[in-house]
Amino acid sequence: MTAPRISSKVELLARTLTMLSETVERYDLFADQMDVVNNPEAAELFRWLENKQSDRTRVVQKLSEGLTLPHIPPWDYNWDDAINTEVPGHSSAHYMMTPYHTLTLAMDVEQSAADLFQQIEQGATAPEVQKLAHSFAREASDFRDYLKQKRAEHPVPEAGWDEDEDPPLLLE
Amino acid sequence: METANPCPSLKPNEYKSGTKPVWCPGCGDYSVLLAITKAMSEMNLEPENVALVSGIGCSSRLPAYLNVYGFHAVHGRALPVATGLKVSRPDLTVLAAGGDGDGFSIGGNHFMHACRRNVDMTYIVMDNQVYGMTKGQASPTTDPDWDKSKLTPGGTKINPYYPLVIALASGANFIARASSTDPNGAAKVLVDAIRHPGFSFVHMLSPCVTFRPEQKDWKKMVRSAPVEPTKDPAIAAKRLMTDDNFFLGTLYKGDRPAYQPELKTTVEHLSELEQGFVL
Repeated sequence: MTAPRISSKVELLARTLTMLSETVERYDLFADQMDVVNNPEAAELFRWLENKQSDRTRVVQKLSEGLTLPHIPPWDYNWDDAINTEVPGHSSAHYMMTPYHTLTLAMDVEQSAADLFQQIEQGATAPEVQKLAHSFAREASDFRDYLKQKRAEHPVPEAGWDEDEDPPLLLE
Repeated sequence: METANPCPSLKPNEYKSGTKPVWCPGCGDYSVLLAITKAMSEMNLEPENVALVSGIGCSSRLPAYLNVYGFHAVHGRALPVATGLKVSRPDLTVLAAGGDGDGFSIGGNHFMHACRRNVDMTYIVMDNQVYGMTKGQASPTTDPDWDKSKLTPGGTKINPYYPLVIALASGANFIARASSTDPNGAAKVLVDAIRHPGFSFVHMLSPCVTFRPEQKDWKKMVRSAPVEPTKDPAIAAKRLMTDDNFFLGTLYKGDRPAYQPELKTTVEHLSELEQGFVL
């Protein structure tokens, strides 16, 4: 899938803000889910990720101050939900996921964001869009590297980490 | 774009109730919830003018997570409740939701007759081909050779139910498929379904990552249907009979007028109604 051709700074900011705010919501949701299934390690990491993304959202909001951002309908985000955007796919989560998995999920998010912004930069003609997309791509790439370092502090999960003799029962 | 809204008055997350979902992490139903809120935001629907009725099952918990009016009905009975609501309150936008077991097995008869009646509402069935809430038994849409349930060792060996074909044959006025793996695309399908008059059926692929983990691969298998919606049932029938269950988009848009009986006031005062219950 190719990134959309973005012609203006306000469009790039609008799309980036939507992506970031959805990512914040998704990490918040994942954290809550992990609390529910009594996986405090993953919950704590998701909350940390949520805070990090909230910080980035505030930076982009600051950049958008004084500008009128266009509304973009969801279906015009013509990129795949979990491949080319920052929004982590729901199917990436598992109730028995370890910190290693959690950080891998977040690394994938940052990698896809870096790829996306790089594509946007390459496809843009306006210098201000190119510059902004370049900085977003670099930021995502740097954060992915940081997450990789952090992941190295945790053991690689053994085969069968998701085997459960007593799988969950959702109660009415 | 035809369905675009230049300025939604409420953001998608403002349609959420604040109650945190208790679905399994990774469940497709989270994305369906997201798609519904996005669709309502794009349509500028006021929460007080929307009602969502569900049956029983994992996906039927949806009303609790939205701040629109909701009713968590009896197993398989979302459609009769929603039908009654819409007929008596035609001003409301009425949605019904549930899973494949609730909708096609326990409520299978209601499904056919709701299609036939063609009341103006939208029915969203989150299909994961399994009864998840009761720990993973075969449902009507399960493949005959799925043998992971102890209740059906060796598989059910029964031909699965084809909901879109049944919907068309029964008279549904709008038939579409969407996937929780693409909530933005699903939001568009939902907007079209809600706007289309009559009974709209949205078959929503929504993986159960706990009891059908192989369904994570659906993400790679779904694709847009390479066709425009048709209003010709014969063309739609041919299309649906050759469908592999992974084509997404609106497949049929009929033009049958929605059923809406004339409402007559039968009682002037509440006391008259109460008289009917006096023993």
